[in-house]
Amino acid sequence: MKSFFEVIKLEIKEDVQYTFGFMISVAVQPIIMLINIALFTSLYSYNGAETIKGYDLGQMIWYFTATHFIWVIVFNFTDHRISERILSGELAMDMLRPMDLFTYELGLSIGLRITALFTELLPGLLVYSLIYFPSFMSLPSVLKFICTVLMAFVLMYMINFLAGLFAFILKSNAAVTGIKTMLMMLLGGSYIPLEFYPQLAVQILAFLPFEYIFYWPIQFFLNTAASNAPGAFIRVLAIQAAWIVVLYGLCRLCWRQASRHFCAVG
Amino acid sequence: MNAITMQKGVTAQKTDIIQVKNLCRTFKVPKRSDSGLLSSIKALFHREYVTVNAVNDISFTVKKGEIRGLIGPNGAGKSTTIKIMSGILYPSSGEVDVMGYKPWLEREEYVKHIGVLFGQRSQLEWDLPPIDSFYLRKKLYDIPDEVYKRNIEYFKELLDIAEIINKPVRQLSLGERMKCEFVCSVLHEPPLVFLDEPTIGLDVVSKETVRGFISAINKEKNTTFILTTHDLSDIENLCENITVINNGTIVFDDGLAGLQEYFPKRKVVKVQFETPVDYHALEPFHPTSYNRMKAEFEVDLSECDVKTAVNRMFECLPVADINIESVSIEEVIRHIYTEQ
Repeated sequence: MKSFFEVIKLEIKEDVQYTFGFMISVAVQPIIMLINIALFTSLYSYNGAETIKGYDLGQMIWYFTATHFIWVIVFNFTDHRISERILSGELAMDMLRPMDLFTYELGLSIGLRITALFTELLPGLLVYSLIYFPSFMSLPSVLKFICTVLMAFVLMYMINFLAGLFAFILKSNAAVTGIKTMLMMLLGGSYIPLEFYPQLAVQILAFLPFEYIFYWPIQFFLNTAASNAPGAFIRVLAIQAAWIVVLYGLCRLCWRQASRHFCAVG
Repeated sequence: MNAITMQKGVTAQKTDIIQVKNLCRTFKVPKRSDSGLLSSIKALFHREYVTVNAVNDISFTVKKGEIRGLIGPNGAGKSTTIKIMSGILYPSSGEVDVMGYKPWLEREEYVKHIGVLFGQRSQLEWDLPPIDSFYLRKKLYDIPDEVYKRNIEYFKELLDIAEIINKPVRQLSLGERMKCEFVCSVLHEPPLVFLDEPTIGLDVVSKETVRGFISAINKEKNTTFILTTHDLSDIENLCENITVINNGTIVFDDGLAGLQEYFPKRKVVKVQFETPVDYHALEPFHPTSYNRMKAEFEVDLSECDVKTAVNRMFECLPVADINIESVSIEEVIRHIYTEQ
């Protein structure tokens, strides 16, 4: 455990040298928010509607900011890092560490996000709240958001770890990474709220892990009616936990198979 | 039963620390008939593979406290052998016992007892000073505080790195970085260290420092080193025993002295002249190299003994100085590499 914390610390030490890059998002995101404010204010007033698909104006504007927050919290480079190291043979150096790659990379991802929390999320939250105050938030909704988004982080990490291992088979991983990001965006509700999809599609998506990374944490963040349905919080947590168990098993199995076939070029 | 199998990680002096038996490793490599676009497209649908025997039935043992040189031409199978012994690669067949471990099966536990340095790869965090990488290793390898402090102080002095361990790695020269890579590989005091081309790209002074370091650690801590290199002066300065691998098999496995006496029937005579000599005066002696003031000859002792040969040279040539040597190691190695 001591060495795991040291890995997290190491990543933070590295990241603080490059905080400028992260902070740029705090400057760019308000522009996107202002565009969303203009777009949705005119859309809601044109339709004379109080809510669209269950979202009031504030929730709709903040939906996309919340999407950004979730990316900030769950994002990591694990897929890129692993696939690049497989292809260059650098993975050999990882295999000489007395800590398995899954744990080591998890430590790095946690460290990376802790930095982002202070450089992107907290300053962002302050700036966006000044632009458009999130009056829909309540303490329970924030707490539920924190719980579900932490689970989402683990889910995202495992999906990325598996995507990285694909390099063993494919030798080039750009396509897998591209498809994975697209699935997250389209099927996870990071592109548009899932309510805009046909009913059948929504029912199918519930069986995939993606909406438990984006859509559901967003619901708790926005304190929507769906998130306040009886048992919704426990149900989402349980499904996230089930996916984590399944993906963890897959990660272990794939790593065991893959490391047998590693041929460490150079 | 030998001491190695009795207790993992602990070995008595002068017992075998590594035992390799009939080790093989094959790789499947995709084969393309030519370099054209058409053949690339064809390869998408139907790819042929060829099997390459990178390591082919290798057996050897290494004793505790040895510095063993593992040499061979490029692509001979040295690195593959090292990677199997350090647990990175699975072998196709054969047995490896290192301090009682099967490296690839118990990798995470096993790597705590070894140090590894690949000259072409880095274990240091690129954006951070080396001291941060050292500290991470302290935690990963669970090095006690006093051992860590003592070792850092010791290496600072031995390698003269006090100034550089607080600078980001990206600002270090290759020589400085390599010294820090060395610290990484021995900081946790492993009984066995694998060095894969540790002096690659280093200048003569850095090479000297690195060799001194290996030698000092070997003497003080009785650490076993397995060293691959293309620099024969590394071998001559450090190794008692060498193993030569070529085309995946062992072609020589003996002491350095054995290599020096590889051609017992051949001597090299080097002569310096008092006055310039024309080539036709040297012709009867068949010089292997020549300029007007000096020449080199090879004497085949099965045809003529050294004394007779040298006497003839004294008679016929204006000899100022003469040296009689065995065939150089470089020449022997070249012969071993090319005879396969």
